Amino acid sequence: MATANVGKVVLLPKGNWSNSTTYNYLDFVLHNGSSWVSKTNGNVGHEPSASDTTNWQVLATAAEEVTVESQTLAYASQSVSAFNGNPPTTGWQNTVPAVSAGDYLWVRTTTEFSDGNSFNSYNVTKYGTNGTGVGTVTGAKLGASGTLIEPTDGVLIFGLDATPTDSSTNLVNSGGIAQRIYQVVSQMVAKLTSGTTRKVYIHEGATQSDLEIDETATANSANLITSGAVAKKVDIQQGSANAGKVMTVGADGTLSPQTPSGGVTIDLLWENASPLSSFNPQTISLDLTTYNLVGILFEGIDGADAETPLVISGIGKYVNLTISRLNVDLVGTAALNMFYRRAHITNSGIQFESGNMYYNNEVYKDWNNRAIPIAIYGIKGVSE
Amino acid sequence: MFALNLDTDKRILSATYEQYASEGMPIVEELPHNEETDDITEFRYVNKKYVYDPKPIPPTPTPEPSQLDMVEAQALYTAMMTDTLLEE
Repeated sequence: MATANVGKVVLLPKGNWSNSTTYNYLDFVLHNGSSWVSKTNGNVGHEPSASDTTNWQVLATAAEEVTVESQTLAYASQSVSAFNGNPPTTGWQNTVPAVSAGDYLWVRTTTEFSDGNSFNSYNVTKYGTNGTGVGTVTGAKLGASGTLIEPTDGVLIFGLDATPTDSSTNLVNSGGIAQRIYQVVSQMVAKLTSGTTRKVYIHEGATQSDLEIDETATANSANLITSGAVAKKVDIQQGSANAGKVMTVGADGTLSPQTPSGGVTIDLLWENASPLSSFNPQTISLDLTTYNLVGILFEGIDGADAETPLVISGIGKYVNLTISRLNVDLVGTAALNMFYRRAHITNSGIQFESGNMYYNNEVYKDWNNRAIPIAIYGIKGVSE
Repeated sequence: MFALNLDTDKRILSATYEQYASEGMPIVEELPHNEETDDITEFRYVNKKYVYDPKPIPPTPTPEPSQLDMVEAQALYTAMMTDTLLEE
């Protein structure tokens, strides 16, 4: 049977294009994702491209890669009355605008691609209201230290009562915002000069500053002072500069320590804790600078005597603690028996010398169980 | 609680109550005593402990005989010499 060469009639796949391969008419190659058909014989060294229309014919072009070039945010507010679920057409800006409580904030995101296309996406947020109004506290409770802990359901609403009474259940009595909540551990009642009473609460961890005084208080004030005075601490403890003084209350309620006029103050400064023991020579250290006179109570023999005389003298003086007895026997013979001890009173204390005894015309020294000091007193409000 | 006033050799001179204590006075819960005495001046306070250290006792004065003593002594002597002593 006779044959005739009619040439290549189908595409002949040659795989990926190679720079060193010679391609002929209708040879089919792949290059950079596109497929090409050779239009000539002896096609070598010609890279397939759209511009080389002499040697190559493209069959299918590879898809073009598109990337995001940029994203731009814009914001716009929208009132409750204008809100219909669609983004506003005007009012867009590149900064977040002020949004009134209850209104909406729109956010527009514009995405631009490398092929020149772009599209917009939108988010919308509703702003909350200011939280005023009366509500209830749900799930809140006081901790061990009196601090308020967060409720478990996240709902915590403080009621505000502009006109509270003692029976009010809300937290704030003046329309303000509650800042601290304390667990009350004590309560007392202050009686005002007007006759009304006010409650004062002491809470755990309270300090002096927590007891606030209203300097412009009135008779109906809920605070402690009714006449504009400021409460002050006045130290009247023994040994202080105000010890022994009396307090006068001024017209504004302030307290003023005053030296009592015509009054005498006697302070017990020292007491013998073992009066049945001997009393050796010694100095009892005392601050006597604020006293006019000093009194020494003593007894004759360590605890055996009913006699406990008191001698009083001034600062800088020497005194004798002396007890005399006249012993008389059955036939009328008398004998003098005397116990005595000398003491020197100074601003810093009293120096006691040894105790002595005089008996039957004899002096017995260092009998320290005689003339024993029992107590020492400081006396104010008198002149030497 | 008590405050002790001590001598330089730690001997107790006197005791007062804590509220009347001067600076430097040791504060104790109890005052010293033993079977011999309750006199606190018979003790020294050393290293926070009481040490019993009695002091010498001064001589006790002997009272001279009174007129009655001498009359009684004379009557007793006379009765013994004359064998006229009354028996109880």
